[in-house]
Parts: sequence; C-alpha cells; structure tokens
Amino acid sequence: MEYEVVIGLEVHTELATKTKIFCSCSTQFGGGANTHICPGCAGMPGTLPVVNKKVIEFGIAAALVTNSKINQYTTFDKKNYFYPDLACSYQITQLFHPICVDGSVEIETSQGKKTIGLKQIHMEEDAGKLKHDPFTDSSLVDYNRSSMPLLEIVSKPDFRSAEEVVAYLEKLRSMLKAIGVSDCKMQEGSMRADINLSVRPLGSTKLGVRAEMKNMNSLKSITRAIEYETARHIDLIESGNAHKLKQETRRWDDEKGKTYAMRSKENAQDYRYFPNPDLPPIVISDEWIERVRQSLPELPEAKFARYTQVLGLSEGDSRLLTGSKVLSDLCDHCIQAGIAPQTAANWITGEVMNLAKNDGKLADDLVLRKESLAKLIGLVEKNVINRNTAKKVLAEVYHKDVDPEEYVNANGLAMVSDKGAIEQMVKDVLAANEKVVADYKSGKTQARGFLFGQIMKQAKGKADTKLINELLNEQLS
Amino acid sequence: MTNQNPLALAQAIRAGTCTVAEAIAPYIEKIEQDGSLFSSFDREAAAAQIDAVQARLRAGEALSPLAGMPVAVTETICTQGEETAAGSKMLAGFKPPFEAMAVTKLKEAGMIVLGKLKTDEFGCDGLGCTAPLAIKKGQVLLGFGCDTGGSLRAPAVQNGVYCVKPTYGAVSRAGLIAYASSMDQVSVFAPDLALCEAGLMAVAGHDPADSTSLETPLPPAGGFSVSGRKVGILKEALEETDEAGKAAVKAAADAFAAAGAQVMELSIPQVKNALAAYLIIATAEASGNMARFDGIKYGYQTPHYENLFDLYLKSRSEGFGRKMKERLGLGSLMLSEGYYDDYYDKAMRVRGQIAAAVKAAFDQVDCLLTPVFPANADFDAATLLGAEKNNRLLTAASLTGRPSLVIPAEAQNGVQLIGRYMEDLTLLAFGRAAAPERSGV
Amino acid sequence: MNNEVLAKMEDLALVSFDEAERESVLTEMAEVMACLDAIKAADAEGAEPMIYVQALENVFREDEVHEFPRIDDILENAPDEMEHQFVAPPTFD
Repeated sequence: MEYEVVIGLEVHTELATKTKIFCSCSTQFGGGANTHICPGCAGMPGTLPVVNKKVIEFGIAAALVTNSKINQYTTFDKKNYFYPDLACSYQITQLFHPICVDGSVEIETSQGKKTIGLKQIHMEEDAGKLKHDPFTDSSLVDYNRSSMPLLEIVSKPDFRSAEEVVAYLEKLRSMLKAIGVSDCKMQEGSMRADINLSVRPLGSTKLGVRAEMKNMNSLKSITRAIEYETARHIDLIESGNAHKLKQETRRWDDEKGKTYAMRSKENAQDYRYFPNPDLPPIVISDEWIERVRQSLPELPEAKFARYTQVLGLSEGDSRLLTGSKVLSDLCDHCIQAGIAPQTAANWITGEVMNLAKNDGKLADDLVLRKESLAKLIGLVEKNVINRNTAKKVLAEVYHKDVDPEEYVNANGLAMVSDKGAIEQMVKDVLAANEKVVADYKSGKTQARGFLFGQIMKQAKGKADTKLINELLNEQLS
Repeated sequence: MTNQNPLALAQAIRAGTCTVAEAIAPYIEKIEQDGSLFSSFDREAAAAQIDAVQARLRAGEALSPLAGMPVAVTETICTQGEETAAGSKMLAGFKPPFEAMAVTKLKEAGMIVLGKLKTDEFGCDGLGCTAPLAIKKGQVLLGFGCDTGGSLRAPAVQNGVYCVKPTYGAVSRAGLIAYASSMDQVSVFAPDLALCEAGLMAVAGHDPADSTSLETPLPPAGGFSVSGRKVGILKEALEETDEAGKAAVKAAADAFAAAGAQVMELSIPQVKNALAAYLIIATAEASGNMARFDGIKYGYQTPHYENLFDLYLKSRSEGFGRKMKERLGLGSLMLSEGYYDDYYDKAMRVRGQIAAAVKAAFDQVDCLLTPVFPANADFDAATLLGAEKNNRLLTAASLTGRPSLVIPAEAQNGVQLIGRYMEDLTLLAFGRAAAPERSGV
Repeated sequence: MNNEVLAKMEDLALVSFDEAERESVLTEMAEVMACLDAIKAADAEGAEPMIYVQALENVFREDEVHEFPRIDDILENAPDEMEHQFVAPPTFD
C-alpha cells in the first residue's frame, strides 16, 4: 500500500528586539549565565510584566508578510506548568486572541509551487536554559533567555514531505530576516521547530496517530527525523502493529538517528490557560497596521521580480543577489549612485564574491562599505583607473576598508590619459623596437601584443588601454 | 503625645517647632515594648530615615503633609533587602532586591516606614491579620497593606480602624506580593478619615511598571457636600447582617440624612453571587501567581527530596499552610479541563453581570451603603469557606474594582461605602458625612 | 467532591495534604464546591466575561535596555547557587 505523511509545524522564532518581551533586560546573546536578568524574568513575586511595543510591531509585520488576518483585539494569557527553566511556572503566551490567524506562505519545491496554510501566529515569552552538571548531578538554571520575545508560527497540517518542510523553513527564514523581525539562526536556537507528524494510506482523509518532535534546530536533523519517524509509522502499520502508535511527544537523538518516546509526564498535561489580568488588551488600529506596512522593506520575492523585470538582470544574477540582503543592498546602492545595473551586478557577483570566498565568508557575512564599492566602480566607469587596478584597489577596500579615491590618489594609480604623453611613449617604443615593428608589418600579428606590453610598461600599468590601442593603430598603419 | 492630633504634629515638624525624632520617639518606644505585631522592625534603619527626612526639611524641601510621620507596611509589600515573607513559611527569608512603588512613594513623601506588620498567610482573607492593631496600640500612625476581597478592610473594622481600598489601578501593585492580580490593591488603614485620605494621596499615582495602573490622578473632592446627593442602602447586604450591622447602617443613614443627603434602599440581586464568583476568580488567579514558589529560586526548600517533582511537591506542601493549599488546589481545579467553562469562565461572566448591575445602580445613587460583616461572622473560623464567608459583603467592590471605604462601629461591625471609579476622595467625603464625630481633621 | 477530585487538585497545584487531614479537607472542599454551585447554576446568558477591571488598552514600554543593577541580590535568595546559577534536581534523563 502507498502512504502519505501529514506534517504540521510550530515554528518558534526569537525576535530581534533590544529588550525582552515583558522587562527591560537586554536580549544580547552570549555573556555569562544570569547576566541579563531582573526580578521579573527571574520569577520573583512582586514583579509585573509590561509589554515591549516593538514585539507587537514585529507581530504585525510577520502577519503582513504571511498574508494573515490580524486580530485587532489581541490579548495575553497564562499557560501553567512547573519546570525549573520557567521562572514564574507559567508562560505568558496567547491562546484566546492571538495576534493573527489564517495566513499562508508560498513555497517552491521540485514538485512546483505550493501554498502552506497558517493557523495562527502568536507572541509569547521564551523559557530559560538548563544545563546538566555531571559532578553534582543537578540542573543549573540560567534565566538569560527567560522572557525573550518569540513568535510562534503555527501551520496547518499541509506538508507532505521533508522537502516541503525545509522549503517552508527557508522561506520563513528569508522573509523574517528581510523584514528585520528575527535573525532566524537555527544553530543558535533563535529559530526552532516542533514537528507534528502522522501517516495515513494515500487517499485517506482521516488523520493517523500523531507524534510530536519538539525543539528541532537544524534543517538536516529535521529531514532525518521526518524520514525516520515516517518509516517507523509505516513499519508499525504494515506489520499489523498500528495499535502501538500512540499520540505522544518523541525526542530526536541526532547521534543515534532515532526518535524516543518521552516520559508520560510530558504528555497529557493540563496547561490551565487563562487570560492574564496583569496585561490589558492590545487594540491594533488600521493606522498602526498601515504604518507598519509602510515601514516594511522589500521582500526577497518582490526584489527578485524587480531585479529581473525592472533592472533586466539575468535570473541567475538576480537569484544570487536577492538571496542575500548584503549583496542586494550593495547592488541597490551602486545603482542609486548611477552605476548601470549590469555593471554593478558583474562587479558584485564576480570580484566581490571572489574576495568573500577567498576570505571563507558567506555572502551574508561579508563586510564591505557600499559607498566604497560604488565609488570604486565609478572610478572605472570614468576611466580614472582601469579594471586591473580596480581589482587591486577593491582588495584593499575589502581588507583594509580604505577609501578608493584617496587610495588611488595616494598611490598614484590614476591612469595616464594625457593623449600627448601616451603618444610620446608609443613613438619611443616603436623607435626602440624597429625590428618588431618590421615583423608586425610583415604579417606577424602577435608582435603587436609585445609592443602594447612595452608601452603599458612605460606607463607603469596606468594607461588607458583604449587610448594605447588607438594610438598604436594610428602609428603602425 | 500620640494622642495629639497627628496632622497638627506633622505641621509642627514642618514648621520646625518639633523634630522628626521627637515626634516619632513615642511610637518607637511602644514598638520596643511589644514588637509582636511586627515581622520586622529595624531601629537603626528607622533612625537613618528620620535623619534623612530631617535633613530634607532643613534643606527647605516641600514635603507632604505627613512628612516625618511613622507608618508601616504589611509583610506582603516588598522592601529592598528586608525579609518579605508575606506571612508564609513558603517565602521564609525572601529578601526582595527591589522596593514596592508604594514604599518608594511613602519615603519620597517623607514618611518614616518603621517596619513591616504581620499578616495572615499572603493576606488572603484577613483572618488573624493583626496589622490594624498597630494603629490602636499607637505604634504607627497609619498602615498600608493589600486588600483583595476584604482581607484588610475586614480586620481593620474588627479592630476599630478605618480602611480604604482604592479604585483598582489607583495605586501601583509593583512590589506587592500578588494573590489575585485583578483585585489586589494597596489599601490604607488609619485611625481616622483624614489620615486615610492623606495616606491614599501619598501612595496613589501612575506607575509605568504596573500595566494596570491608571494614568489620570485621583480628582480632588474640592468643596464636595453630600447635601442633595443620593445614598443607596444595599438591600441584599442589609438582609444578611446582624443587629450591630443594622445599627451601624442606620446610624450612617441618619447622619447622611442629617447632612442633607437622600437615603434610599436599593436592590442588586446579582451580588448574591459575589462570594462564589470571588472565590473562583481569586483562587484561580492565585494558583497562577503562586506557582512560582517552587523552592528553587527563593524561600523555603524541603530538606529531603528524591527528584525534581518531589522537591516541588514537598517544598510547597510543607511551605504553604492548609487553607492556602486548599485555595491553590481549588483555583487550579477551576481552570482545568472540565471545570473551566462551568466555573472560571462562568464566574467571569457573573462578575460582568455584577459590574453591570452595580453600574446601573450608580445611575440612581452616588454612593452605596452596606454593613461590613454578615450575621454570624466567625473570626475564629478554621475553614476556608468559613473565613471567606465573613468578607462576603466586601467582595462586590473587589470584583468590580470600585473604591470601598469601611468605617468601624460597635460590636466589631461597621459600614462600607462603595463609590464611583476614581472618586475615592469623594467617597472619603461621604465617609466624613457618615461618621462626623470620628472623621479627624 | 471526592478523593479523585482532591487528588487532581493536588496534582495540578503540586501540593499534597497529610493523610490525617484528608478527610476534613474533603469535607471542607465539598462545602466550598456546594457554595460554587451558585455559579454553575447562575444564568449568565449573554453576559461578557469581565477579565479586565479598567478599560485600559495598549499599555506599552519602549524597547530600551535598562539592565537590573543588583543581579547578585536575586541569586542570593536561592537556597542553592552554583556558578552564578540556580540549582535544581536533574532534569535530564
């Protein structure tokens, strides 16, 4: 029999705010344990939450880019459970009136385009971190992460393969990064996914028994876990052991490549959600939504369309450039500075990317002052330096952050474009190499290259090549 | 000296004819004779505060009318670096690294916070709360504590002291150890209404650290007169009280009438459900607020445990008193699957009904008058319900967040006046009309 | 109210009553539940739940960092502290 896997995703993304969601502690990553805490996020009595306005704005932004319906009356609730990483023994989250519902995200896989439905997105606080101390066999509790702002993006069970899941996560990541809502670094845990998975015979409309895998934080382990869990379900069904499938939470062990059932305590919990009376409701006006919409930067998809259709760049160049905010920012700045789109694209996809590669950096991590790049390309366009010189200067700009103009001037790299001076050099070289000139005139065309080289040598590499060629042609004819 | 008019004494301090130390000495002496009402009293810290206030006065700083006066807060209000155990073993040794906004405001106003007064566990029902006695004993001039469903108003009246529970949001809850967030309010208890008012003015005001804090300041009562105003005696409450309660209501009604107010009887049948709604909502909210007491971050930790959940269970079972455990169990149950809709959600709707009915009543009257205690109040009640039943006439004001003033009368009963939102100062003016002989200056 | 419901209350709130007091706790809780039946029986048709006492909305804080200056005083309260962290029994299986 053929089967299909049905997957729903709950994605948690940590928001790129300066402060936590309910207190003014810094969200800075790293630093020692419990260095960004206060009585509030450490769960002391007598403390009260106050909402960070930026979190609401990020929530609105996320709603807009996922075509969600914004709940203009949104509230916070308490979700109760005991665990040492949860300082108050409740998590402030949204159940009854989440910030938005009914969104969608379009993905593209080898099977073509597909729309994934979103049930809702809600705002909530993160828990702290636990670290096992093997010497005392205890858990050490660090509340730096406690009360960090999160968006939980809950999809409908619309995925039918690991490939779709990965495409969706990548799409979410690129969108949320582009609008500055989250940096979505999976390895640092700022984007994590809970996977709900079940298997059913192809064609059936009834859902199978669901397993949940929590806190997955790499695309590779997500793919492996989905494949493993799908196979496990099919095996049990095929071997007549379908009754052994339980609705449960399972832990993915990346080293062993297997999932394990968690203890039953983690299952069947009654979270006793109720509205948090400490936090008055939030009313989102049409004007507020419009203000956020106006402030949204261009999304990668729209940018791609602009690069191909308006700027006339190839799909390949456009994909590369719009795939990274750093590259597209460089490109857009150069164009704004008056450089032709294709010229800017060539420099960035060529020389700039080469420098980054040799430096062991990904496009998004490369650091290059966009003003400097535009200036440098401008110098070439205005024939102040030639392309070869420009490459050398770019390396200096990249490694030492020099100003290209100042560098060219200080090192005397500007081209000799005084026609009289070059004419004199051409004459001198031809006079000193009468034999070669004769060779050329007798048909040895390669002799011309030698002459050109000698002239450029006299000009110390800084002559306008076009001008040399013109004058050389004149003198030789 | 403590029997001298305290506001006149405060004025003498500001005029420089009497020092803060001189004014406070008799109070401190009485605390040192019998400190049993206090959970903490630090003479040196008090001396430092006295010196600081004296220095500010000498520097010509304009301080409040109560500058230099001795006050205390209950141990449910956080003071920095001082044990704030809220009357519970569960919080034994808890030293907040911060100070409640109410305390900050008292100190800013130049009052001397002499110490912390004991309460019943987390100040839940006020049974056994001895804090108001400190007023009677002349140990402090006025006190501040938390009232949730009458838990401060009740012991105040029982001990012959006035108490005002302000409009919800008028005083910041920051630094108040939460019991039921939607009803907790820092309240003032004092020997007379003038001090109630001065105390309220000192702690009221917007606080950005409390999201439920009201931005607009309490409007002054100005030249308010009860003449021509309407006072409604709540029929349902009157029916439930004893002879002392009825007598107190009658005396107040007579005084209102004498002052030119129109007194009428008025029925709000929905308040019959107030106690049940209060019990559900308060315990549900408490079950959330008090889940953080887990024996790991502060307070009591059981000495013997086998694993994480055993540590939780034992610490909480040994740390909380029996009534508190019953409340937490009940509140958790009310929020659980199978109970939420029938109890918690329903109670919130009933609360909405009560609020609407009381609001409608205020279309007819300017002030509600009720007795404080029902008949057969049992101040030795050992059971949860027994204790809560005592306060049932006080819960409607808590559920609706309205200001409530209680005025003690004979036989451990008294009257309650309920006012309009934000009109706490007007309510105190009503109080002066109801008890003209004891309203202070 | 019965033993089963009482056990559920204990389980949810993470508190337990002594064997010796269970009987009287049961009686008391039965009394309380009887009182609460008024709510179960109340006609609240059409009534909106009153969650927030005041008509406040949109109470926000700006996204500005103010680090707490006395973090050590927070940790000082912990019954057990190690390497600037709170200590709990093992949570890893």
